[in-house]
Amino acid sequence: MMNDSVSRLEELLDKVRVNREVLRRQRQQQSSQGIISLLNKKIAGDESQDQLSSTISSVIPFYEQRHIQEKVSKDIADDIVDPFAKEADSFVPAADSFVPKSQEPVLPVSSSPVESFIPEVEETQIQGASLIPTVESSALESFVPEVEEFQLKDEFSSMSAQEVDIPDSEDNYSPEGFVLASDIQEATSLETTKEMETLETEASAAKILEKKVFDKGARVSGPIVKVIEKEIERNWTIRAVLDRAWLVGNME
Amino acid sequence: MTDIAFDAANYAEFDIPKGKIISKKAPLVLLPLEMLAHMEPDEGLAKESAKWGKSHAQALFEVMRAQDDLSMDSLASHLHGAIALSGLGRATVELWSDALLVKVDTSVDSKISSSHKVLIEGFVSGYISGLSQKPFDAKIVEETGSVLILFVGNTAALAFINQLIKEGKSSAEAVLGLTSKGAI
Repeated sequence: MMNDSVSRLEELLDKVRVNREVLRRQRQQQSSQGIISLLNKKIAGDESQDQLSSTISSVIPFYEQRHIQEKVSKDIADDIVDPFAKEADSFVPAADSFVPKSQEPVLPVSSSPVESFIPEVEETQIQGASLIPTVESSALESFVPEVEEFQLKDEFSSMSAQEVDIPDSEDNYSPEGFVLASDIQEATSLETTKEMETLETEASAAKILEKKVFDKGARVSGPIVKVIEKEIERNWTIRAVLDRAWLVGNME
Repeated sequence: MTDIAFDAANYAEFDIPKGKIISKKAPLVLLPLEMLAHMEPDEGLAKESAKWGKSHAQALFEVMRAQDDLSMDSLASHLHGAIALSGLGRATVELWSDALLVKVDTSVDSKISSSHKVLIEGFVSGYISGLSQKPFDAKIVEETGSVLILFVGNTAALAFINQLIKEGKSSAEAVLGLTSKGAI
């Protein structure tokens, strides 16, 4: 029973398909014949231009729709894609401006605003140039003596060690008090530097080899003495140092 | 090298009921610095100062003996601590080649009295002698304001330096004089 119904339904569907195909062919044929007839009438002068266009338009969806789609796609490809492909080479050199050579920017500005803009710039430049003599004559001249005055007021060179804040804390101790000749830098204490410069001058005729400072009572933020010559590799334990110190000047 | 930091804890106690300042080193008396200027800067003061300094070195010496040896940072730390607790100033240890010098900034505004200098010389010589177990002597070779620079060495070296200073040499030249003799 079920199989009979299915078979019957399939037969009906086949008939519908056949009928639709027959109908489609008939309409195509009629359309073609209608166009030929209209063209013949047009040639004979019996049909107006409007009637012809209307008939062709009604036929297009059934007859040339696919062809039109293909043509449109081709036109788009030719008109849009290809021009960009052609400009691809020229686009790279114009990367700064990002404007293809063939597409020169057209400013939507009339000639009058542009012309009025240029004199405005020139006017600004003239005004800027006129400012320079004013700066030279007044501000710059008054600035230079101000610097000289500041240098004269600088009393840092006469600052004594007591005026420098050196907290007596072991926490602030820095082993930088260990100074080598290769690490000679500006001393933090100008007074100490002055002393050592004197010492260095006095020592120039003699041969003091190195000066090593152990300062656990004060913060040493940098070299506090200048070392005259590179340190010799030695044992810096208390016993070794005191043994050597004991022998200094001992001629026995 | 081991580095032992100075510890000032329990250095002294004020026993108000008994009217004493108790210290592990010796009984203390707190006096104004001006009174020191009236003391006679004689050999007696120098000897007592040396004993005072030596007593302060004892603790560090014991640590050195127990641990074989210590770094010079320990010496700088302990010497500075001992001198600071005595109110004598801020000490820095310097080595000019092998020569040992101690710089003491007394922070004294007025002129440093002779007895004050003897006290510092004695304290430093006693401290280094106690640490080294050798009879080191210490003499001021330079004085600039409140800062004193002491040469610490044997008696012969000190005599030579003093002779050069008497001849008009500076302290630096005097110490360098030992170099010219080939002693350094």
